Amino acid sequence: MKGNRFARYWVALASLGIPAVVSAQGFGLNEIGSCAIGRGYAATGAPCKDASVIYWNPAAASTLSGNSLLIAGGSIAVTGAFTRDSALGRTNADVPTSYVPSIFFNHTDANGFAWGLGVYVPYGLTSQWPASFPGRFLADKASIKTIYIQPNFAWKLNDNWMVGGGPIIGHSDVELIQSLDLADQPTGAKDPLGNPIFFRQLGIARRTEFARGTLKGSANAYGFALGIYGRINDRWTMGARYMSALDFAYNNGNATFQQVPTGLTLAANNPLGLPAGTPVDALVASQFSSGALTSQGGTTSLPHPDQAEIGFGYTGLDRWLLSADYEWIGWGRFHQLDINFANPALGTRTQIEDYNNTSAIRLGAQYTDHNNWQWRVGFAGVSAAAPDETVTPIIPEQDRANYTAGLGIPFGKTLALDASYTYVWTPGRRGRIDDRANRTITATQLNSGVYTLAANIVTVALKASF
Amino acid sequence: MSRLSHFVRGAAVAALVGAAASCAGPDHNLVTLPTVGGGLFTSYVALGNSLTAGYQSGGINDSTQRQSFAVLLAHQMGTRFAYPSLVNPGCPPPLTNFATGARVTPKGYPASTDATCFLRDPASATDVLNNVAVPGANSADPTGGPGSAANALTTFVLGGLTQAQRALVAKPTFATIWIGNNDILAYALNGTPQFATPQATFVSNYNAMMTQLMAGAPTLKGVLMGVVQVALAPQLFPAAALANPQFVAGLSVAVGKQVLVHPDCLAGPGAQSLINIQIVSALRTAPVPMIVCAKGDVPGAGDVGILDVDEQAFVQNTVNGYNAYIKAKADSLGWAYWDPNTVLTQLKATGAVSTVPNLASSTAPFGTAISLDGVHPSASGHIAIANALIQTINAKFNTSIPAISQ
Repeated sequence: MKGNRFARYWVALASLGIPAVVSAQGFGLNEIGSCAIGRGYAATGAPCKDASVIYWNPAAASTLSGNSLLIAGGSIAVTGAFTRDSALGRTNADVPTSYVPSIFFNHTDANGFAWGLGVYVPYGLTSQWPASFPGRFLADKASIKTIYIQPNFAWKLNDNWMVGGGPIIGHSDVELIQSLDLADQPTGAKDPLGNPIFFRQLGIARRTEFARGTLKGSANAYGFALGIYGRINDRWTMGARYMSALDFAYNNGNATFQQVPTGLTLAANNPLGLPAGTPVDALVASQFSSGALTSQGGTTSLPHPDQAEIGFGYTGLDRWLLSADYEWIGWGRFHQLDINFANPALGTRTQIEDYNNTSAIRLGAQYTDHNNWQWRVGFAGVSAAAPDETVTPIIPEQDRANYTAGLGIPFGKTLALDASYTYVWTPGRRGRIDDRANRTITATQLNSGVYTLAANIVTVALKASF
Repeated sequence: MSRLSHFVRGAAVAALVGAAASCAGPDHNLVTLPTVGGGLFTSYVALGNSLTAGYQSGGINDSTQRQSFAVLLAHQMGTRFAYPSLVNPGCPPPLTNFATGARVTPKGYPASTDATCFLRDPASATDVLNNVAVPGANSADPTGGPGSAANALTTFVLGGLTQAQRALVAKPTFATIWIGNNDILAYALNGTPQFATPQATFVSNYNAMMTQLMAGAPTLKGVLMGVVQVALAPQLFPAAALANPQFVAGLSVAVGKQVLVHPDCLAGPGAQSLINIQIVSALRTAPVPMIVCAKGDVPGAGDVGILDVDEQAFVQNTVNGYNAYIKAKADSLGWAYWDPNTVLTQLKATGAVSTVPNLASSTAPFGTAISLDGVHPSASGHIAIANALIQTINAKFNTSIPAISQ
């Protein structure tokens, strides 16, 4: 019977889909459960009393009793834009509202031994721009949908300290849609020195879209999560967690290309020796039927970095719980994104990332009133993972401030409803819409405008204890 | 970056961003904009012909393009200015020696000719050009209308669009437009000014261009630049110069044989004619290398390359007609009008533009302000033009663009 129930949850989870837009560093997500979010994500040293602890601190599952079930969902509405220098225009992002589910179940016996399972989305991304966006040659749309499934076990070392953890099975789907620039295509002719002539040398402007490519792939990866939690004294608690990195290798990808008409024609006396009025589209059409831009296999890989978090909780004030966490994420392992095409003519396309490891300070407060309603507020300051050279339409990374509020309402002794709201504020950051061909090119040379980003996030969780 | 620095940065974000929470939205001041002109020069485009494109010494490449008055003006404005860089040695490569006709030829390259073309620089390609001027363009070209003079450079610069279309891609706030010289220049230099664009056609072309630009950028402001009086071009020299034996001797050296001067060049109406220095090329292959300055005195001579008094008057009146319309157009739009002939006259007076070419000089025969082709400004000529434009713009729009140091 439990198996059937799990299957139904799984189907529900899958049907929701897992697109999202970054509200943490890089393409990380924090929308896991709801209680922790209302407290500014500061829930490792002072875990919430629900099954989402399997993510927030696996050891704290031992603090629960009996069966605990949590079903949560979050909606993420992002507003973003890119404003080019020299008043060359502003393009608003076209990101659909995303929904992030999570499900946790835990059973803790009388001895504090706990077992359970969590299904959640710690990483995900959807960035999408309109067809007129000048940066669509880096990304029209980028989508990462990653689910972690984490069996969890926890037990008490003694009356005050407990440990926990479990393996992680990760599944990830990626999709990248890019426009292709005619200016970068060879014409087949050569200059007086014998070098190939590209269309841009004939005056074809950059960002002349002649094709659109789509790469899709999926992959599985494996890792683990660990946690420790304990009481320092009657007023102070502390906890720490570590989630290992999962490196996804998307080896079964498929790349497809669609020709986009330019309507351009060659002028007289062109170096190709072709008659005036020759359609440029006809010159490149063969690439889609028998050339480099036919459907083909493609591979790529994407690291999902490790996370480490330590936090403290304080209960010395009547009805108040205060918490503070520090989180570190190992984004430094994300050096570059290599996309390998099966056709040697396309070869490997590399996007330099050079991310840095990141930090976040998380602060939370929770007040429990006489009706046992729990009122929560929080704040998280998050440093950006991307260096100045890698602020792109795929992820317009920048420092963020997350302001959160939440409410927990009990319904009898077995049910409770949590809800939270988060406003993600960013200062705006200069970024680029062009590829970075090599690491000698600086941010000053690359960046040609400003990305702005804000998000409104709402989560709701239904919790049951039985 | 160390973990400690990340911790400190996280803490800083927590403290400082929290303090900034009262700010309503993202900081748009990070967008790069010019500091001069209060928004007027946010996006500057230059339309025109070879004069604006940076053509010099019978050729064009990145080096000459950088010297264009439009590039200089944009730099003084502090605004973005992308031009269609033509990779060295050029397309065609500029002359380096007036006497020998040698052109820019990098070491290891085949000898450059007037047919050599090394296309656009692939490294500087962009989607938004600010200098959309095309060498050879006449008043019909900015809109691609009937009578346009498209050539290979038209494609290399504009990539399939017209000047007006390409200019509008830049969402321009300010423009300089210097078009019209090719409606008469070549005809006048050839001594056949009757083939110049008729006034009515010129007006129609010019009006179509301005209508299209203003439709695409209704708040656009700028400078309309007048047409050069061809008689001021140093490629033309007065027939009276042929009375100077030293000058004739110089011509003879350039031709490679003794040049003869018909008496009509020294007296009568022919003595008032203007002669195109390019006549040297014709004399090299002529059976009898004689310069004739008036039509009718010698059958088949005295016409091509010779601008007689009547033709000079026709050219002057035609240019005056063009310029009267351009000025009226500028006035009606609230734009500035700039007359290039004032500066050209001043430069002639100082000797920076020659009245009679110095054939002994292989590097500056037409004065320091004119390049080796006798028509297009040199680097210093472009500086003079840019400074004159700056004065005009500052006076008209109450701006404070700094002048360029000479």
